[in-house]
Amino acid sequence: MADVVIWDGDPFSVYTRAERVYIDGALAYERGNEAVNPMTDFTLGTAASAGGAE
Amino acid sequence: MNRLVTALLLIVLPVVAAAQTTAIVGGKVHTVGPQGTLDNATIIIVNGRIHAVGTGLGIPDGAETIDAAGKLVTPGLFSPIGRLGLVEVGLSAGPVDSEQRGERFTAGFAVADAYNPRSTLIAVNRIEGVTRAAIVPSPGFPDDSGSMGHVLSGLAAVVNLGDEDVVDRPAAAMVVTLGEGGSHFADGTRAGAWLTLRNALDEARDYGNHKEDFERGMRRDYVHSVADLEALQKVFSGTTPLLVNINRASDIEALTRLITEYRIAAIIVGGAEAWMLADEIAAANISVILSPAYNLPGNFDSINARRGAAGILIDAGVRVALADSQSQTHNARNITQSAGNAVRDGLAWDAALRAITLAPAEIFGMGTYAGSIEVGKAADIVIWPADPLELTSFPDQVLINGVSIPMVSRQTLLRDRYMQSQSELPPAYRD
Amino acid sequence: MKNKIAALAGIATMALLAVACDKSAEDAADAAFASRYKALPGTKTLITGATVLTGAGERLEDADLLIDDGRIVEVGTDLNADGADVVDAAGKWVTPGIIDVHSHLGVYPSPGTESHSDGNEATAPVTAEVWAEHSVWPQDPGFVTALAGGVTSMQILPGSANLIGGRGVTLKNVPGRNVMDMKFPGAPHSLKMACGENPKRVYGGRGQAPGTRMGNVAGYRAAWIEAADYRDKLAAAENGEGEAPTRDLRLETLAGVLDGEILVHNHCYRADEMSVMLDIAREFGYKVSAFHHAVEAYKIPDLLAEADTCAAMWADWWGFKMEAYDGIRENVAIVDQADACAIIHSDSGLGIQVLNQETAKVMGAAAKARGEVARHR
Repeated sequence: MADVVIWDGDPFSVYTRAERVYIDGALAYERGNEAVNPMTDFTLGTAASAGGAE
Repeated sequence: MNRLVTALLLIVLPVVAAAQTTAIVGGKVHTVGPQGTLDNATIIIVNGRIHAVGTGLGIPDGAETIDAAGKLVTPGLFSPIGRLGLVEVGLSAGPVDSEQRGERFTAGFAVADAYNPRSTLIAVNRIEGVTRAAIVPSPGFPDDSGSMGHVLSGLAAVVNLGDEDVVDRPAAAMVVTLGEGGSHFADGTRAGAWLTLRNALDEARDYGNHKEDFERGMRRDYVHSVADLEALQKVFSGTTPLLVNINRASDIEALTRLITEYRIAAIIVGGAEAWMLADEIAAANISVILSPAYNLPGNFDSINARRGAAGILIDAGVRVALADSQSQTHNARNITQSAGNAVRDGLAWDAALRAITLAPAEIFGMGTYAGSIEVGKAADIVIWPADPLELTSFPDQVLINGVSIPMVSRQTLLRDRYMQSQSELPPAYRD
Repeated sequence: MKNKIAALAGIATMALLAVACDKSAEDAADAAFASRYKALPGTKTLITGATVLTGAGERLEDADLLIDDGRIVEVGTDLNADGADVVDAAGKWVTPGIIDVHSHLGVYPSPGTESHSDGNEATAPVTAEVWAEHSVWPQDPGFVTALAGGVTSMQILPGSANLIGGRGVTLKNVPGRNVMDMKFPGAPHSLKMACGENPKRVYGGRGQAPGTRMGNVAGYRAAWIEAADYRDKLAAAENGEGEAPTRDLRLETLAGVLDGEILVHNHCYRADEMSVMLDIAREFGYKVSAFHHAVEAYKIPDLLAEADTCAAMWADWWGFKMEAYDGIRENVAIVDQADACAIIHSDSGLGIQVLNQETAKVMGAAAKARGEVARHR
């Protein structure tokens, strides 16, 4: 199955972040793309929710 | 090696021993001071203090030399919060000396006398670069064992992780727990916790202003003991800021009002929502100790926790020290990972290194004495094979007050015992 | 866009309901709590020019990866795919999605209020009848922060207050309206067991058994004796010998372990206790799939390898309790180098976001101690 992560660098560096996460071939998360940045009901309306999963 | 040299000098020529000199040569030195970063630099240490830093320095005769060519050199790391030397095993075992469980003292409870430099935790953390630490009394928690828990839990100390003269400041901060945590010690109310603090400050101020009357029995009874009231005098005299466990923005706003009213200083610990008030916190000259990777709404006080908070606060001019998000005591060593994560989330690398060295030293009143590689300061120095904030980087050598510590801990002994090839005898017969 | 995703999820759920309606009444019991996971809408995607760690031991430079119909179709160089979305990943790295084998997301969600404390059914030392999935709150913010850390699947376990704490569940890390929407299709249930301090503290503290480690062991053995009896009676009844026992959720779960359908995940820190647990497994004929935390696994890597039992470990947690006092940074590396199965887990809503970092710490410690642990492991 296509559960795949694209990292913006060496995943074993502390400075590296996941850029895109695919689950079963579907883009489930993309950093900086609000359209692919899920947010739980609980987080709605909090200041921290501006970045969703970030 | 250093110890051997010391021993020889003592035998041969005590006068020379008094001027113990070490040179760290050839490293890339991140001074975290005005000299910035120096390539191929030399650090001269005399009697535990930094004597000179620069490139092309001559090495004094008789100096012990540490070759740092190709290495990175930083100030020792400063753990800004935790219970090093006060706790061996936290849960159901061993000493926990960070907590005053009864009713007799609150503000006067001082952890410095209980600090154990021989705790196994000290070696585990210092071989990974932690050279100084703020150690704090914990507020405790009301429970069946008789623990009361206190809004004011007492005096935090600063210690160095060396073997001698270990307590640097016995009264470095006055620990206070407010917000949701503090409400547990004030009949379940947040306002009650604030009132408890105000009452303590009011009594202490009254006591301080009328000590002679008090001693003649001409003052009303206080709720607090003399030991508590004396400890609180340090808060008013400016040597000992409040160290306030607090997360919610509204509590931070209340804190800025309180310290203005009482003309005292404060440090925030936790500060999950501090980033929302970065400018106000900077204006109030409040420092913040936070865990930069803490981004979950652990409770309703932290509902706006987020990554990137350290960078926001530092950019606004707030002095920030970074703590580990998961284990501030046993794994105080992981503040490098915290700093790396802060960089990942937008903080400049130099600022992140400062936030685990000089910034916490300054926050606890040690800024002129430790925290950076500057002439005159204590020689707390770490030599790294690579970027200290990277996860695969562990120190080659650590110096505390100019002394090279043995790079051994109970953990390295266990490791070495079990990494040896199997013998017929049980592990207990191995080193 | 958020609305769009929610709408699509709604459509997926309806489609699955339609399928469920077609099932016969006989299947109804099996269908209860069955996975209703449906992948998010995906497109054919070509990721190009990345450094790829396959997770199976290979590191490929400048490699392409083609995804279609939910699967990885091809990994290679200069792949060409008509009609695919092309993602330029030059200078970037590609790995499999991260799997956390030990998480309490959803059962101990944020905020950690008392009303959210749903991970330990600490009302009896053996509660094999409870299922973690029935506590999972899909709105736990920790799921999405874990997703941003690259986590695509995780096993949600009951806590460790009990000797036998109940069934764990494996989830896909997709937002669902209920746990069934998240359940990993076809993944077996697990059984959470716990050694050591926690059960004896929780129950001993109430003046109830177990109050000691020997009490713990007596408790596991008594449970397995009951389970074997239940299993035998069921089997006999199927052969027409005697009446089937009344359905018992607790014993049904334990019998499922004895039948090999449910995998044992055993919270256990100390080497000596893990060794005892392996003997209990032998006594009753089940297998321990993994010891969790396994802070002293480095003392018995040969025993773990021999039993084909994994150790799921932290990179560096230690000392917070007595049974964690001997934790060392090289634990994972020593287990790995003994050809036993070594896993890095989080057990934390923060740790799960940085499992790549936890792995890096292990690699660094191993390299420092003796030679590098191969990056791919």
